[in-house]
Formats: sequence, structure tokens, C-alpha cells
Amino acid sequence: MLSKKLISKVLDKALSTGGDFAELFEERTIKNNITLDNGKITQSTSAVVSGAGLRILKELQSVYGYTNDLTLKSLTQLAESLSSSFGGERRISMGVIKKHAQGKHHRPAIQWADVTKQQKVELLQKAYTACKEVDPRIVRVVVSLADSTSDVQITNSDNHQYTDTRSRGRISIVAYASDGDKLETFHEGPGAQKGIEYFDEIDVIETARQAGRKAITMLNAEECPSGKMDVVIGNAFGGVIFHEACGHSLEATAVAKNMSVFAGKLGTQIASKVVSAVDDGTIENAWGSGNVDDEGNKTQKTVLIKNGILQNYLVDKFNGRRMNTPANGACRRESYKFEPTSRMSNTFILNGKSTPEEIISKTKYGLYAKSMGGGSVNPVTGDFNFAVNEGYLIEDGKITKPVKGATLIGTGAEVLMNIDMVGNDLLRAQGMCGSSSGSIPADVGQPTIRVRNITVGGRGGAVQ
Amino acid sequence: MINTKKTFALASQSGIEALELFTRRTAKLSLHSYHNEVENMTSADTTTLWARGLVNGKMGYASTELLDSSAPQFIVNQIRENAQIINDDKPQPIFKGSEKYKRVKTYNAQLEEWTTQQKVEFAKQLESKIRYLDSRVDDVSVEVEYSVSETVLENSYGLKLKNKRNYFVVFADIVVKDGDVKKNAYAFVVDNDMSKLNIDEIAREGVDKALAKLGGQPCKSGKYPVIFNPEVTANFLNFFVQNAIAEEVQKHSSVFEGKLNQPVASKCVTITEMPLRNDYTGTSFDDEGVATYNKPIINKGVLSTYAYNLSTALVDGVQSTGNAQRTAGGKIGTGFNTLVLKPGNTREEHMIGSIGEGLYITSVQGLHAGMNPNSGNFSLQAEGFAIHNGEKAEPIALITIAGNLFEMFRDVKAVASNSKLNYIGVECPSIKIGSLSVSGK
Repeated sequence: MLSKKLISKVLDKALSTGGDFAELFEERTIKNNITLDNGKITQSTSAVVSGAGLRILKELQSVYGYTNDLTLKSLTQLAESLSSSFGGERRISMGVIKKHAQGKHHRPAIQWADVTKQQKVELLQKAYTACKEVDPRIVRVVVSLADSTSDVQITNSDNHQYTDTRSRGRISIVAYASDGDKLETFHEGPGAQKGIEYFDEIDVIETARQAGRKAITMLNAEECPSGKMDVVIGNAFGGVIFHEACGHSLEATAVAKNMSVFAGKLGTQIASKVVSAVDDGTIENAWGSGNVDDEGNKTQKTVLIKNGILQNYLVDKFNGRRMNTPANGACRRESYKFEPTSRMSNTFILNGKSTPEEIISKTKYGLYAKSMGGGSVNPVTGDFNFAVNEGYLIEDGKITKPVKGATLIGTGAEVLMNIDMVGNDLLRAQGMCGSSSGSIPADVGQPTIRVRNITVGGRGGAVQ
Repeated sequence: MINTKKTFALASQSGIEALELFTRRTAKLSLHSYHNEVENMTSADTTTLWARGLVNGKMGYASTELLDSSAPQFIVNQIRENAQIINDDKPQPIFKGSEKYKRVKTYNAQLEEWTTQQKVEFAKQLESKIRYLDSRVDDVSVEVEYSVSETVLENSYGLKLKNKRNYFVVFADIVVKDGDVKKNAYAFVVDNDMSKLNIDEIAREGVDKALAKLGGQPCKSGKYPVIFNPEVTANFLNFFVQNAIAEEVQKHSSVFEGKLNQPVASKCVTITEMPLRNDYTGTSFDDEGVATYNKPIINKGVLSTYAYNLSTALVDGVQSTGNAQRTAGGKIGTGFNTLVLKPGNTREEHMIGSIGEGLYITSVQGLHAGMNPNSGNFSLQAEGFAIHNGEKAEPIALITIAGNLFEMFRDVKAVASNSKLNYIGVECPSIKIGSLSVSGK
């Protein structure tokens, strides 16, 4: 990692034209990826990501630059070129940099560097066999293991230096089921900030079997009917709707510029009273956690919504200036190639009082969206769309048959108000969240919930 | 920079039978104007080395951005370790070279003369123009980006190929407001030819698109004839053509399996790959160093070729079609460069005029999740306009359109004469689909 002396020179140069804050983010990441496709190792790659990003702020303006040439000459050039866009007089200079001790959370028990490729291959084979053996109609299984270990060093013109190490591992299991005519796939992708020990803890064999069983279930599914209906959304990855349709609109990136439907709504009711939700970057070893965020702030647990009332936004330093709000440990980026901004970490709806069985039995007719796929949202209008990966029809309070091809659409604001039951079975699940500062690991989550009257798109004809 | 000579020597001493080094340096400047100030500017200069090599006939991969004296050893070690665990029998060759490479002009030196200050002025001007076009414009953000990249592919058989490419992007995101209702739309230009940059056109297009959405409501559910605008067509076409990738066919996960020289789409559909076009999307060689060429993929509805890289070509006993493309993880896969859907003779207005009751779709959302790439079944959020008695009418929002991708391409009734190059590198006109299921109110 770069020396304090070199960094101090670069930051001082960056401040020479009136910048009121400068920060150098340095990163070195090692990533490995192995893929087992239908029993054969078809791919094994290793990559080093290495470089630094320099940010200078001046009131409500920011300039950012990055390079993987980490010599004093190259970084000074970068500082010169970036600072030249502010044509003012120096306001501040660098002082003595204080290095803070690295946080001790989220460490793997077994370092990824100590795991051999052969051990990884054995893990993949175990998952492959378990999934394949579920049913002869499982025609293909693709399993891959990705691990990464990232060392970051963040130094700023407030003379603070923070370091963090983030080690993650994730397995991805895709089961393909075919009856010769139709082909259905199902994906499971658990991950954590842990070493290879994580895959013993979660019972990777059972996870792989589940992927296989779900692909088979969807093979037998009928096309989902379309129209407005009540939708029971399953726990864990079901939380993706909250993440997309509400979470992104609570990020300062959208709120500061009034580009969010929830801008100016602090203290007002934006969700039904049964809804409380948090963003928590401190959960031990969780996929989206960290000791510090990517501008060096300690991560924290932020209450977003309490009993339907909006409590807080997710705020980074730069957007916080426009909002007159301090940063709250939610500033993240994919790598040194991205200027950091407010992002979610582990974001989820908290437990309510109903049991999942109660929620189903009280639903006369509707869709049980047990597993959700991906989706997207327009932050300006709040319009969202989500695919349902595993769905069942509910008739007279009972789950009757599997349905496929369903899409849920609506607006975030409306859905939040229409949640009328919240279960007591909170679970989190892992995803990659893409936004302006790149693709970052984030947990979504929720207990089983029911939403009244969502528009469901499908090919199975209109609801009677 | 990495010492390539040393790396090749070290590789050969370490038992690597053939080595390929693929280096790309990218310099980029982007600026973002908001409230008539440059709110953000980003400049970048990065170099990445992707390397792969054969050990006992198996391919190992490594890539690095740490290009100091430790790089050659790192590359060699990782290639060896990664190759060791591969037990797939598919041949993975490193290429000795094509006989001839056509010249493609992907770099325009004139663009270098566009100074940062001029870009700033342009962004501010565009923002002002948009604001003054209509009082309902609530917010605007404009982004101007310039990127130049140099690629060098070198291997131990002595093949050395270079490419230099530059382009600019102008992107305007516009929010309009009427009462409490907000809608947004964007307009953009990507090119390396400054003459394609018309500031008034971008402003007008963006504002018109956003205003047209105000008051959008779901339409009645049912089955309708539908027109897709060029952008929507491009999104669907991009999914459709992926089925021609030989690797998917060989893994039995493409519906185009066994369909070579057979109809897979309506007769009015001709899709050509044009990598040799002299614009910023072109390329004279693919990511394995194979010379590219222009070719129809689907000709009048008939599938005329699969897309191959060297490895999948060997499996089928044919020549590579120059479609090797590096995936995000660094591995060589297959992809297309500049796909073009051949425009028809019908003007878009006439196409709309041919529909009694139907929809004109201007955007679909959630393709990555709402489309099953294997079965082709889709159910997607969409917006656009109603068509009544042959006229474009009220805006439609928050509906889903559902259908099957493969049935839909057989159901293309007409291709319009308009055409636009989309930012995903697909050039398309509007198309008319016989019927799709719509879920609204």
C-alpha cells in the first residue's frame, strides 16, 4: 500500500486550487472464479484489481479520477489535472495523517489464500452431485465458486487514514430441468464475508438439492394468470422488491436532487403501519457488511422506516452537503474505478406478528411469489417490475398449483402502503446491486408479507 | 507496462505451451452538468492485462492491473494453477493468425481536438436549451463522456494485432412535472463523428419523449397488435440473436439447435453482423485474433450461420466466424459486433396507420429478469402509446406485455424504414408484431 508521505503529497497537490476536501482510495483485490459445468471444470480464472481513485470536493462540486499507475509521478499528474478544474486559491493543506486501527469484524475463519484450488473443486463437485441426483430431468447443472479478498486504504484531507479487508465467498448453483419439451432453470446463490467454512455452515448439499427441486417444480407449472390480485411475497430474496422499489429511493443520490418520490418525506407515513425496515452494515460476516464504508465512516444500523413512518435516508459525504445531513456510514463503491456514493448494505423489512401459514390461509385468491427473481425500478416515478421465479396460485386460503412466467409491476410508494400483513420468518439473501457507483454485494431480506392488489403480468389469461 | 518479452520467455521456461497477452489501455473523461454547473468530472487512465496459456492442452486464465515487475511471474503461476484443474475435453487453441485483416476506421483524430472546456460549454448549453423548451421541465442532468482505448493482442506464435478506438457519449436525463405527476425520459448520442451531434435535436427529442409520458395510464387488458420503436426492437433482437451462438447450441440450450438454413423468423427479418463498419463499434479482429467479416445471421427469416469462436468451431468441424468475445470474468466466450436489422420499405406512420386498435411501445423494463432466455417466455413492464383508428393517441404506462420471443419474431408483420443505432451496438428500425398479450386494468 502507498506510504503516508506519498499520499500526503498527492492530497496536498489536490487541494492546491481551493478544494475543501480530498480523499485517496487505494485498493488491491484478488479474485478467483471456478466453474463446474455438468461435471467438468470448464473455467478457472484469477484476477488482480489494483489502483487508486482520487476525489476532490469543493462545495457542491466533485471531481474524481483513477488510475492503476501508482507512482508518485502519475498520481501527482492526476491530482494536478483534477484540481485544475477548480481555478481558486488554496483553502486548506495537509497535516499529519492519523492512521486508525482496522476493525476486527467480518473476518473469515479460513483465509481464501490458504484454500487450494482442489478444495474448491471438491466443494463444487459436492454441490453438482447433490443437485444432479434430485431427478433424472435435471439435464444440466452449472456450479461456480467466486472468492475475493480486498485490501483498501482510505486517506483524506481531514488527516484520517482507514484500512479494511473484505473477504467474500459465494457459490452459485443453476439447475436446468427439461422434460424434452420445456426447459426451466432455477438459481441459488448463497454468500458471505467468510472463508470456505461458510459452505459447511449453510449445508451446501441441501441448497443444491433445493435448486434442483425448484427447477423440477417449475417444469410442471402452468402459465400465471394476469390481472390485479393480492400477492403473498416469500421471505429472504422476496425483499428485493423493498430494496429496489423503496431502498434506492432512500439513497441520498436520489434524495439530494429531489429525484426521489420520498424526498422531503422524513417523519411522514410512507408505508402501512405494519412496516418497519432497516439498513444494517454491521451484521457480523454478512454479505453487505464492512468495518468502515468506502469513505472511511464506521458502518451502522440505520432505521429507515418505523411503523410506516420514514425515519432516515442513506447519506454519503458529498450528497449530505446538499441535504445538510451528516454521512451515516452508507457510502460504497465497486472498486477504485467508481466515485463512491450512498448505497445500501444489508437492507430488510423487520419481523411482524403473523405466521406465514396465517397469511396464506387469510388470502382468498392470489399469487404466492415464493422466490423472486430480479427486477428494476425507475427512481423518479417509483415504477418497478419484478420477475417471480417460483410462484403458486392461492385459492380459498390454500396453495393449489405452481405457476410460472409471472411479473409484478407497480410503484414503490403504492406497494409500501398496501402491505397489510407481515410474517415472523425474517431471512436475508444475497445479491449484487448495480447503481451509479458500480455493482456491489448487498443483502436483501424480509419475512413473508402480503400486498393487496398488485398488477401481475403473465401469459395464462386474465383473472376471472 | 509489463515486459512482454520477459513474460513470453518465462512462460515457455515454465512449461506453458502457448501464451496470449491481451492488453487494453483506456483513458476516459466524463463530466456531469447539473443546475448549469459541472457538478462532477471524472478522468481515468487504466491498463489491464488479460493472459491465457496452454498447459498440457488445457487453458489457464489470469488477469492483472498490477503491472509492475511481479506481473510476469504472477501471470505464469496463475495460468499454470488454473490450467491444472481443467478437465473439460474441449479443444482450446491459441490462434496463429488469419491470412488477411481488413482495415476498420474506429478512431477519429478530430475528436481529440474537442477540449474539456468545450465539453463543459456544450453540456451547459444543452442543459439550458432543455430547460427553456418547456415550462414543465422540472430537472435536467447532462453527461458528456469521451473515451479512447488502445488494444494489443500478442501471442507466442508471433501474432501481434492492434486497435485504437474512440467515441463520445452525450446523455440527457430529463424530468418533467405536471401538477404532482413526474415523468422522465432520456436522449443520447454515441458516436465518434462530431457531425452527428446536433444539440437542438437532442434537446427536442428528450423533452418530447418526457412530455409525451405525462398522464400515462394502464390500458385495458387484452390482445393487441403492437409496434416496437427502434430501441425496444433492439433490446428484443439482442436476446433473440444470442440463440445463434454455437456454444449454446452445442450445450442444447438454444432453440436454434438443428435449425441451420431453416426459418426461425418472419420473412421480413434480416439480421446482419457488420463488424467491418467504419464507426466506433467496428473491429477488424475478434478477441482471439481471428479476422472478422460482415455476414447475415438471419436472412429473410432463415438462420444462415451460427456464431463461432475457435474452440466451438473445432467442435463442429468448421471455421471460426470471428465472434470470440471476452466475458467479464476474462474467459473467451462468443458475442456479436454491430448487429443491424435491415430496414423495410414501410414508413413508420403508415405502419401505425395500418392498426385499428393497438399499442406503440417505447420502452420495456426488466429484460434481465422478466425474459426466460431458454424458453423465450417473457412478461415485461412496458410503456408507450395507444393506437386508435391508425393514429398514435394517449400515453400508456404500467402495463405488462407478455409473449414468447420466438413466436414473436415469427409474427413480425412489417419492418419500418426508420433506423437508429442503439447504445448496445444494435441498429434497428421499428417493427410491427401481429399480437401480444397486454395486462393493464
